[in-house]
Amino acid sequence: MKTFRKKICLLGHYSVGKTSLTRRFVEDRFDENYLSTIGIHISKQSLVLKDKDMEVELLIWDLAGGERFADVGPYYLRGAVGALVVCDLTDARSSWEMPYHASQLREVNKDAHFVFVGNKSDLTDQIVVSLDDIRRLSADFGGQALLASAKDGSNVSEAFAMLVAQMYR
Amino acid sequence: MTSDVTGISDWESEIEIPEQLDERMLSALRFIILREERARLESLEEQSAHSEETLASLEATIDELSNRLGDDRALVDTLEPIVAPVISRKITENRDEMARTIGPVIGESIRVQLRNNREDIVDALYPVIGETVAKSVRESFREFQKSIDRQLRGPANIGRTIQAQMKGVSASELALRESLPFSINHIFLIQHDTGLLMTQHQLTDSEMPPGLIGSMLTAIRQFAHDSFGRHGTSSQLDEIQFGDERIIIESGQHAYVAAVVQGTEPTQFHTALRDYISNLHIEHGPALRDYDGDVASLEHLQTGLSDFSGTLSPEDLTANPSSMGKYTVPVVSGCLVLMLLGLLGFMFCLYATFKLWPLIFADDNNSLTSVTPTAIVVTDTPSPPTVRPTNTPLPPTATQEPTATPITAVSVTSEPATEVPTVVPPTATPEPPPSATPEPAIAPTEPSQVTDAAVTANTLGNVWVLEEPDVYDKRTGMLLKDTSVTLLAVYGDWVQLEWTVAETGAVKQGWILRRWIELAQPIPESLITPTPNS
Repeated sequence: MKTFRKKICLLGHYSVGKTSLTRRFVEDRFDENYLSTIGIHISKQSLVLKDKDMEVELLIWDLAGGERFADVGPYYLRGAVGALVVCDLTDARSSWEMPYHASQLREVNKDAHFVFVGNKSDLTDQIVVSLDDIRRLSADFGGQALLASAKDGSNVSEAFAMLVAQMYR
Repeated sequence: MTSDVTGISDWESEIEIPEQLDERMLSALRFIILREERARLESLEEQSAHSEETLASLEATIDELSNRLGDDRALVDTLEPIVAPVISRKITENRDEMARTIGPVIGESIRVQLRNNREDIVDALYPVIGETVAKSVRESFREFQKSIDRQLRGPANIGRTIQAQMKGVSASELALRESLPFSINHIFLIQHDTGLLMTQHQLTDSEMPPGLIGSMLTAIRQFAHDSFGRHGTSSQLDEIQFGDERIIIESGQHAYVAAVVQGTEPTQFHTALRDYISNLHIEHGPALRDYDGDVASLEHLQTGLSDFSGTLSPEDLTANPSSMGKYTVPVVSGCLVLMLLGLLGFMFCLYATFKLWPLIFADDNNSLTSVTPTAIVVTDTPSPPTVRPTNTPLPPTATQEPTATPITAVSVTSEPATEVPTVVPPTATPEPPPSATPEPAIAPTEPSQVTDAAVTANTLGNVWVLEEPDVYDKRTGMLLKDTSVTLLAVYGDWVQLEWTVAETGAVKQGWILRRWIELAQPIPESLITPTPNS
């Protein structure tokens, strides 16, 4: 089995749940009392693509709240081959910014891969953004989108797997 | 009492008492009937009185306790005898629980005390900590001293001495420097932009996932570069310190190497890292540039990094010529060559001195020996007699060429020995008939009789005069340049001359090589003595 290492990023508005998605994917837990920190959080998780007989070791770069203060630094995006662009389904404004975040990485790496993720799907009674809305926003960036919930874990691994599959399609 | 009387009165009012009963009987009756009550009443009165006393006593006790509670000192005095045994017993019975209970309190107490009264804490702990530290320092210094002693006594000390001299420090200072502890814990090869770990070599146990270290290091470096690097410069973060550990980084174009070390690294360490990353880029530049995370594509670098790690110990860095600095090897080689040449030169001088000693310091009574020649060249193969001095200085082949200052015994004006005589073509003067028939003999002929047709000549330079026509023969003196001489005999390349010393009028004779004279006329055959080869 071949092993590959890839750097990917999580992009999105502040407090949409990027770090929670990462933590759920890497550590399989959701921290209810999670407080945003300042800086970059890097974690590692491997995915196995059985059909391609390969293991992909993902180095996941997460801004962990640093995006509150400034635009994403170039060092954050440099070398990244893909990104999960995340919005909060209960906050329409966060979804509007998704193309902007994706374009930042596109400027650094024109071949970058994207998956647009609508987080907090568990808050069914507060959702104001639909999957179709997200699909429309992702149209210029590959058009792959899905709804997920870091809280209950639904579709979290699938989002990362979708991104990896896109890389080796 | 009042109440009792009233009670009785009430009782008397309710009972009809015959008037005929006298007062005395009533009293008796009262006594009989109320005896028990009266006793009880008295008892109660006693108890009441006692209660009041008790109450007063309790009040006094409460007051005293209140006073004690209000008075800290009194409270301490009261509790002191109790608390200590209680705590002692508790510690004995349940040590762990006590530690858990009072641990945080003690910690906080110490912090507070340190904040409020640092001096007291220092004074209290000094005897303990001071001794502990002193012991530790003594131990460290003992090890340190042993280490230096080992190094100074070791066979590498000569090399160290040379190295120290070249670096401008003493050997002991260099040994001291090399004794400082240093260890490498981990070495990573990391791609620049992505922070992806290309390969790594771990020398000590570490809990940190290498892949994450690569990414975090890259993030920190890139952040530092973007935040603090001046526009247009390529400045990079090249060292990170955390506690005792440091991460030393050397960058290449596509990748950088990061070494996690402890202690003070040798001076050659950075150079070694730089050489490694440079060579890596020279040999594997495209592979490093095109690395896409495929771990297998750079597996061959793992061996190289492991080998390289093995050369990074202080001993190896000191002994490894490739890392000793750019100029060390050439300088050392040069020094050795110079030393060798010097030794050879010295041996040659020694040989020449012993060989030429008899020639230079010949026992000669002639006043001409007062001249002290400064340079002599001797050869076994004299040049042909036909060769004449030219403008070009002749190679010192068959010449004894003293360059001494002029002697006082010779009246001829001297010129500097370095001046070369001018060419004078042979004259075509007819050869006078020989005045004497030479006797054919192998040995040089005796000076012939000077005739009227004597052959005269001038010397072309300062030249030693020998007793016999042999370079190794005894010197009799020196002829200065432009001395007028008379040719007495010729033997091979040698000519026998006669001349007069101007100051003393003494007539001298001796042999010199023929090329050092300029003849005014051809040599008559009668003067030539055949040589065995002729």
